[in-house]
Amino acid sequence: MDYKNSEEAALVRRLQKGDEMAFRELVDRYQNKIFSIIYGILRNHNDAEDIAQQVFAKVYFSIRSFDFRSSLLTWIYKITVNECYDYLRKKKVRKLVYESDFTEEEAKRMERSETPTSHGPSIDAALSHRDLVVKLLGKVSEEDRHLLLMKEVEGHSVEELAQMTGLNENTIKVKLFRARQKLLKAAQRLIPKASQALFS
Amino acid sequence: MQRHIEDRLEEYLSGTLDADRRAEFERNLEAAGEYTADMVAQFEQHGRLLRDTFHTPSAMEPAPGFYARVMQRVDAQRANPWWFAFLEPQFTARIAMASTVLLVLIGLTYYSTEAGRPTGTLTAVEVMAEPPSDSWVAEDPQPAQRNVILVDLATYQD
Repeated sequence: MDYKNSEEAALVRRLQKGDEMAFRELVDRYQNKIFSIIYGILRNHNDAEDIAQQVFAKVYFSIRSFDFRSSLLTWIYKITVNECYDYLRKKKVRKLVYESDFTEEEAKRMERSETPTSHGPSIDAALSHRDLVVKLLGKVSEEDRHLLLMKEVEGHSVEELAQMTGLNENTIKVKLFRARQKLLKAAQRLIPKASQALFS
Repeated sequence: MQRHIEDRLEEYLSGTLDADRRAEFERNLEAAGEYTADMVAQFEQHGRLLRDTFHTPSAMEPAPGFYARVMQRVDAQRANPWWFAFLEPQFTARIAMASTVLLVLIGLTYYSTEAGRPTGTLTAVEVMAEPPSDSWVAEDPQPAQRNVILVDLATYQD
């Protein structure tokens, strides 16, 4: 289907004309999706809420620059991931607290500053594992990061990605292959041999 | 990498190849050698890692009243004039960092230019600024003649 004639494109055109109701429609339509993506990266409700607000504010102010080359969701997705990574850069990654990585008991123990038990991976290990993956993904370009996340985390097929980005399937395959190679190289540089066990 | 592997790689990694095609892919992978097989195995591992790390188990939603909070933020940002960005601490920090880098670069350039110049060679300005040294006077075979020449030059007329 021609994207420019789709319902979503009509919504964008209304937004570009400054229709506030269209903006409300857009927020209602995508807020859960965007919130989930942000929560998936940051693992913190308050931060996810803050970044989600910022993403929609950005959409509001820059919707006029949307040129229909990709789908609206792809465009918002890019803004979302960029905002998350900007936020992570500001927070220097290390000090993030990932709520969902802890059980209630672990959180309480952390509050009491007790040492972790020998059962299962320690909180520190879980945090550094997550930090490492976030950092690793931060080592590839924005475009590679978006593609890898859309493919691996959002579960889009090559065909869907081609439709969403306006590129052909072969180009998507080549781009994904290169992105994976860059991720591999980044991993070899970032992770010393000893800690590669963490990833196996 | 073999064309067949390139073509089917994404389907293989997503697990969407049917049994026959998967078997064919794995045969090709084996034939392609250890390096390629190892690379594809690492691609698989990274994909799993990304899914495990970033996947959210169920659809999340923001607290009620999200739209109102977004509009509050939009209004707050609309109220700020464009030059407000210059007052943000992040912007100021970037300017400070850029200035430091620039100063260091200027310093390094100056130092390398000065250090790189062969000793004993002076610029025209430095030569003019230097007073005549005693050694020059001492080496002059006829110091009195120098004064005569200077007087000649000063009084020279066509």
